[in-house]
Amino acid sequence: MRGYPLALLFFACAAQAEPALTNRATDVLAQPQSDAARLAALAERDKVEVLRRSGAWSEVRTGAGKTGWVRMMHLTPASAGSTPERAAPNPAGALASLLGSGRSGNTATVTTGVRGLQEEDLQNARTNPAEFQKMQKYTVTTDVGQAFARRSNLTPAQVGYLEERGAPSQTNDMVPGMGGG
Amino acid sequence: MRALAKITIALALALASGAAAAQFGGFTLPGLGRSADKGKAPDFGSMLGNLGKALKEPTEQEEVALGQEFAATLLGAKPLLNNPGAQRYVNTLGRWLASQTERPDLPWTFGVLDDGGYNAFATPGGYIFVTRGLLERMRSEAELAGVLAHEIGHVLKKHHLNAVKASGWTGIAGDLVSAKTGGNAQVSAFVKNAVLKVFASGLDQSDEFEADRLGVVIAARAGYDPFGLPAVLQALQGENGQDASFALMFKTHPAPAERISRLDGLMQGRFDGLPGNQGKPLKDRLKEFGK
Repeated sequence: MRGYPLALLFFACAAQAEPALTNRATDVLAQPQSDAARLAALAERDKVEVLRRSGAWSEVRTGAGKTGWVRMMHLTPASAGSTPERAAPNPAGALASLLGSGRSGNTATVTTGVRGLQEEDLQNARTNPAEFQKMQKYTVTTDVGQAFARRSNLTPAQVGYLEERGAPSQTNDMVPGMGGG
Repeated sequence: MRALAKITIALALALASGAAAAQFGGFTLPGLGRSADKGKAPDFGSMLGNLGKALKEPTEQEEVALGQEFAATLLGAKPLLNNPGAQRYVNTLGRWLASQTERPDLPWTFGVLDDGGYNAFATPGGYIFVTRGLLERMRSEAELAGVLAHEIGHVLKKHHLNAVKASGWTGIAGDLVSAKTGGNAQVSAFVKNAVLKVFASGLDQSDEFEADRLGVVIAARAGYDPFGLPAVLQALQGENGQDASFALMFKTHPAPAERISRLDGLMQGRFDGLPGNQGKPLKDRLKEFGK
């Protein structure tokens, strides 16, 4: 936060086109809704650039240069299943500096390969009640959560839990996605 | 659930003495003191209490006490990130999410661990952790909400508690509530094994799939885009499981592709009508809560 170039902050919010492959044949639509006009048809494993996401939909640019919306679940990152030759740039560089990680230095990328918490850390761990007491000081009441939601324009929705496949699911033809709490 | 409660009550009545001991966290006999302080003297009171416990569900008080032990052990492996704003932020967002569930009154507490790896942990009773490395890679608040909601789902369904209570629970349940966190050797030994079991070996895959199903719904109930969690899983699909920052998380969870495909089948079309709020950019939140 202190003294980092402003450019760093813009890096994080700039839409970063990410290469992806379709994981099934799918349509490119003019709007992020299923009844929108169809702009193009994609085959399985067609390559696209993902520009941004909105709910169930990702805005993509096709190989033919068309821009439109595809169901996000129909896409897989192009790097999936392959071993990248080098660490992929992480667009979270600005967040890293805001979090005070002190690792990102003057570059806007965080390299992967950092050794994270491992089994042996848990094996060697000795209980730390003092740190736990510190953690408890940050807990907040339900009221604080509700005030946060109000000022963030987060509107609670009544949505029923998803039943496991094969389990009997309640049908609700009126409002898809809405069910009894 | 109700039937289970009835059975539990029936058992508790049948074992009135054991149930009473459970209630007060250990049977104290005159001249013997608290069970935690006793050396090798035979502890009939605890044995009676434990007999009751073997047959009944852990109480919420015991669940919370166990969670505190888990949390203190995890914090022994990695301390909190020294960033009060980030800690306040995850607590506020987390509490809002948790209040959309059937267990809004647990002592929900959230923490960012100072660890560059990518992981998230839940303990019994509502103590939830994300690593700094995970937080850095969240592309939106809706993604973070999805991750926290997945962990909240584990707590709702008591996945960790159920995974560890089968082995040795009866030996420590009596001391769990009465002992200070980290203050009882027998409890600490149990917790150490339990922590390794659930955080290093992982839960059953079915528990992870269930937490995914719960997570998307909890996020949606809180007003967030429910596709935040699928988006996180999709990003993970593009990561390498051999990478040291992801190693433990990949080892303890089903493959991201399998998790996505299960959610895809269940979410299809059901969430299209929701507003899909991405929340505020995380960098704005860190500034807002850093004041």
